[in-house]
Amino acid sequence: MTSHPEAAASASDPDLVAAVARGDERAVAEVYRRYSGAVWAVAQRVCGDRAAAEDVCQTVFVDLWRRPERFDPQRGKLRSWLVAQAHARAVDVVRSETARQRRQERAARLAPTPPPSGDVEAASLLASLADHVRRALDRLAADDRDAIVLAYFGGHSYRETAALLGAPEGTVKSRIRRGLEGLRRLLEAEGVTL
Amino acid sequence: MSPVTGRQRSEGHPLDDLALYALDALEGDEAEEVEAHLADCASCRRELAAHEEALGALVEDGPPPELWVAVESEIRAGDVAPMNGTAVHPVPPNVAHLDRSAGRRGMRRRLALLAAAAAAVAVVGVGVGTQLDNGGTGSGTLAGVSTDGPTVAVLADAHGAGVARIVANDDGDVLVLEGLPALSAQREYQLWSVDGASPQSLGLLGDGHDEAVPLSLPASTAKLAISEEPAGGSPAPTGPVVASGDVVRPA
Repeated sequence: MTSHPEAAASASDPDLVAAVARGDERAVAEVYRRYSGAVWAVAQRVCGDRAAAEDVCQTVFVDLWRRPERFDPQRGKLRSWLVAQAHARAVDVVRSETARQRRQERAARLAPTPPPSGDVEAASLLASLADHVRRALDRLAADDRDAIVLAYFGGHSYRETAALLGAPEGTVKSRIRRGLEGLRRLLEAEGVTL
Repeated sequence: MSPVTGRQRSEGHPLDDLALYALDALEGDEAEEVEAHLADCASCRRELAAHEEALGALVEDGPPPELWVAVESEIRAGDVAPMNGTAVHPVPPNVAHLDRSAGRRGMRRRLALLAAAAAAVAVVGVGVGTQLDNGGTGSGTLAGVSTDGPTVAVLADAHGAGVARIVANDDGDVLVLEGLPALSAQREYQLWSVDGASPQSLGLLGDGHDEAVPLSLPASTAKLAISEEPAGGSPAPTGPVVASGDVVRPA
């Protein structure tokens, strides 16, 4: 237990999670204060739907409360871990929704082969991002950037991304990895703050 | 085509797939293959964490959404752990179901747990090195929860028959129910540490239909009991104690 209410505000992330594991509600409230904005942002972006994003966000923090041992402070930062949890859940929401739509479409015998529309979707996703994020992504090769944006913010699997871009799956895999490694270099070597 | 695709497995690490995994862009079995590799590969776990950090940087920090009240009420609703002393997390009754049904997300969580095994052992204090002479070693999987590992506690009913045991495996501790009668919908089994003056809740065990329930035993726990409680659990035992037993630690 944290003895003083103000102690939570100054605690390190790993200490906070340790306090959560001891059942300290103030610790989970402090984690919420610090990172729910980011968790909410990714959930909202991927789900594109307020109610679904709220569910995702709520689940992420209730999960942290129930199973705090899932976070390994040796492995990474709490913020990126929470964002990854939220992303995985948001993608699950989007995928089950797309699967439902696809079944309906098949049933209706619609759409012979729609033209690749990935460029348009990538451009619109990109336009919706914060300026500094867009500027960072714009430093990647356009092909790599579009693949990353469709997969990460669009919540598409690499197969869907390949279909959207009209590119072979293997090519899209390579683009995503190259793009991600490029982002890491921007962050690590050049010290760019996104 | 980039030469990268052919290269990715030549080093023994599925680096293309790992990047896709970080973006949650793999499908079904493909994600599980990566998870199987991650479970054994510390360098790929580090790589994944670095990917996740870069992706996290793409997400802006907004103001906290006005959801805290909803989160808090759910936390309180599921919380039957005492808030004093060495409080322990309750295991919500539906956790085992969530883990089983959540597919790759569940896998991802279990993996994180596996990767955190060393840290978790330090926290819960029971696990590696805890062996039992007379309890034997469990084996296999029940309802998606691995029950491999040494038995660290056996709980017996009033007649001395073993009805539950706790197995310490790589994923944490698992309580295996082996003969408690199934309860009605309004009732639920609850596990208690009965070492101190007042019993401390260690979590809910469901209605007896769940055969394996993941949980975390705190290091200080030596005496355990299971009682029958209203669904949702009680802050202190109210129903009949149906089983009890000791945690056995290495000498």
